[in-house]
Amino acid sequence: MRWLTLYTRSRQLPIALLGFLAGAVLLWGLTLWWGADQTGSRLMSVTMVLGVAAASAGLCGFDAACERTASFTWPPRRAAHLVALAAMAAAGPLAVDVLADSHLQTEAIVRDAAGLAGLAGVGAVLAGGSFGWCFPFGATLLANVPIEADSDALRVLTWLVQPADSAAAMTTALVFAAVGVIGYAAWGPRPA
Amino acid sequence: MSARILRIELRRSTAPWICLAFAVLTLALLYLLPGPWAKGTGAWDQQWQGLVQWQRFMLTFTWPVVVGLGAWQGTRQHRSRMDEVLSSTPRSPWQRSATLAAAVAIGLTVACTAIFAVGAAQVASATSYFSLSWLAVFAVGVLALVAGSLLGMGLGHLLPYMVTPPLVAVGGYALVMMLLNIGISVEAGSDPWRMKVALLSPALDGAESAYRLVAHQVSLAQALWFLGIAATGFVLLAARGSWTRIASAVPGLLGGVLAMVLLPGQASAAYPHDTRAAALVCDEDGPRVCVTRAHEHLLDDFAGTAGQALAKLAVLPEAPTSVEEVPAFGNEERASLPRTADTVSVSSDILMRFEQSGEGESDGGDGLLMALLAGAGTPACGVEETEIPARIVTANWLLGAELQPMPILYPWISEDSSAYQEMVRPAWETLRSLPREEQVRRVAAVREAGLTCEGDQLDLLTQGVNPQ
Amino acid sequence: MARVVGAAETAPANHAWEIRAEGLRVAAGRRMAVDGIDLAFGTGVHGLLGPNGAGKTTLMRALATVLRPAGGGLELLGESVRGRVDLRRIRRQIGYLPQDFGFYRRFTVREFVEYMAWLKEVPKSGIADAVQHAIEKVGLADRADDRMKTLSGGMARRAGIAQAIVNGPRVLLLDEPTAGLDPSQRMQFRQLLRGLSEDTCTVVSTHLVEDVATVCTDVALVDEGRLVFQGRAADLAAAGSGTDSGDSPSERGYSALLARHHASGEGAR
Repeated sequence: MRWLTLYTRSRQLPIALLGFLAGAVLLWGLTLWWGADQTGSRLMSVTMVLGVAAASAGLCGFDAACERTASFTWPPRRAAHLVALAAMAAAGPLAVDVLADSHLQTEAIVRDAAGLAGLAGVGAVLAGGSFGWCFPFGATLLANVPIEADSDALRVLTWLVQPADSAAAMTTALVFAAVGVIGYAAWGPRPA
Repeated sequence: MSARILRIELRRSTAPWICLAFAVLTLALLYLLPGPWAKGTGAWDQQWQGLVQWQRFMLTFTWPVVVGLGAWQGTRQHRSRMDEVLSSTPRSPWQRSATLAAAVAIGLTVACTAIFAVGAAQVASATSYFSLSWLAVFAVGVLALVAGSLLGMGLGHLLPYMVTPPLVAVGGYALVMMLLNIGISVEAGSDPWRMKVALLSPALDGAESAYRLVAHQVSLAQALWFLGIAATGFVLLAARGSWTRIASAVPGLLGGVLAMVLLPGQASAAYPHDTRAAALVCDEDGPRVCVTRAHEHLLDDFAGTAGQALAKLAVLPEAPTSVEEVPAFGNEERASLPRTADTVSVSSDILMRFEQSGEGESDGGDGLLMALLAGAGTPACGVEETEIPARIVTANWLLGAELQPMPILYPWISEDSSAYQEMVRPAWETLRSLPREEQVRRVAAVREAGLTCEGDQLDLLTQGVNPQ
Repeated sequence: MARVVGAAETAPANHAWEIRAEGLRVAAGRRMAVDGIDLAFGTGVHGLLGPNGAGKTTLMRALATVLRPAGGGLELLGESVRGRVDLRRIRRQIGYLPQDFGFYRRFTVREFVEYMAWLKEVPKSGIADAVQHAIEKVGLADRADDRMKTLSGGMARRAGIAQAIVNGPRVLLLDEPTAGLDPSQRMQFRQLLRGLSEDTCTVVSTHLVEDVATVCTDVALVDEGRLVFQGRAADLAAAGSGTDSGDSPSERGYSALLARHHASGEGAR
């Protein structure tokens, strides 16, 4: 497991973990302070993207060009990295749900985590380590704009904060997750 | 500071990109999304105050972006491995940082002004009411952005890692969202600190109506707060020693304390009524017709429609003789609208809804006429289930044409809807089958009920009396 | 070369040496990388030789006023840099090319050199001329308006030299200036060094012995933070004999002096 330790360090995983932890603690604290009614999926998306954005910067390693010369195959490892990211993103809010009895829906948490992690992958491929975080962050910004999502297009736009039974939101998240994992595994991060 | 170096920084730093991102994001949100900024009397393209206040509201989403990109700019020196060569130069890092800060500040000011100009072109053609009450709000908005970018640059310089920009951006966003949530939870009489804390946000509440201001006290306190933040960011950007860096917190904290002292603790004090915009301007040529000063440009058209409405209402006993716009401050109940026998009151919201949707449509004037006639010239009481069918029937009866729905006011009651089929049409047919005097008596009874908000208007129409 | 001459420079020199160190000690992190060096450099081109990790770069950083000495004395242009002194007057007359030379990638070459000239407080009226001359001197005139990020490694190095000489420094510190230059560029660089005005004290740190042998009037050899040898380039060559390793007299002298230093160091222990 030596390589795993080195890999996590090269991907700045400790700082990402701190981001996820801080997000979860924030969500927990606000749920206790304001009550479950006041802390919905909007707040959850904001706290979740804290860790995802921090992890985005680490999706690129230190020298993408150098890492491409590695003799083992990257794709499965990269895919596993993104899946682990989604799991970490979901873990915090799920734990808060257990601890504080919030009104968050499990499906929505998993959906958001998968979609955001996928977007982080898309960002790493398209924008590299410096600006890849703009993708999950931008999705969170858009989702929290106070509009009434009364059409499918708007539900796709605000997929992060839709209720769990919204098919449009679920589809959007799954597309992001799939495109992100496949794209990131296949092409890898954009060299700086 | 050297003009040539400033020019180089303006072109080669992240400043133009920060400003482009900021302006494009703001305008995209304003134009592409159907948000509250496009609705109501204070919409961003309707009033000067509304334009600036919604522009401030948008900082909820754009301010964190500016802070994050500022942080990226702040990591430039380390990223470019310039620390070494810069630390051997005689010019002080304060001047070096000031030039960069000036470039970003100039860019952000230009971007803010450009967004304002886009909105101003629309507002100028939408209203004739102008006051400079928005100026301070706008200036504080620019200051908040500059302070945010400086804070970002300072943090990026302090912690020049790849992970800093995303953390700073998301952290800033989480903070703004928290302040927004605290602001939403403020009610009349809640703890003053809630409102004060909420007002520390760079974003302001959007303009719910054309008749609300932002108190100058708020702008002053926020200006001090963001000056403090800007100073903190600048010191972090320029400082070399760790003691200076620790001391950089002082201006920010000082600004925060001053702001907390100065900020008003109640929403009503922070967003006072704009009595000047709400003052009535009247057309006394025919029957007296008044609109608020904010809608003075509508008076000529509206006086015609209002005159027609008064003429139609004249068939009723004790008919009203004037029409007045009632400014909706955005926070009162419908039932609290004034109900006087000699005046037809129409809320600003309804007036604006026709102004915004009726332009270019042939039935815009007719729709407004029907709205004035609804409930036989009385404001709605808010008992929606039976009141609205009665309002539609009375409006149609007074208009004297074939029965038609009122799509702009009540879009959910179309000709196919069950409410229309089961309540509106039967009531209409019942009423029309009666002798003329009885029809007049029943509509007058509805007017009576509308003025007192007592009794069931639909029953009055269909049965002539209220079942006790 | 039309140099911009500041008021400080026209004042009569009241010092014998541009750079003078006595028992200089400089820390690099926790390690004392320069540990008691006595040096005196006047005008001319001085080579600073030594193996990797000898303390050359730390010494250069101290000379560039980036690092404060931890002990001993250091005088630059006759002024001591120890204690709380205002370094601005000295820094205006220093040109420095760091070993790890970085630059703002989005600036053009001209903008970058101009920016550095401004930071070195070159008088406003003279900046444009000084920038043009510096760029011409390093042979980048045809690339002056290209972005820094489009330059190859060797060209970026030359842009680094341009920023170092833009203020017409009296102390010019070049830390491994020839790293990444191809042979013809290296020859150009030596030409450039020879052409620098005569009242400049240039220190070139390198571990390429032949660079030193061809252009330097004077050589200092450092090892393990101490001065092993200071003398003329010819003396360096003379120090070696046929039995020492190396392909040229200078290289043999270099090996011989280092071997002798190691031997004496071990003997002393």
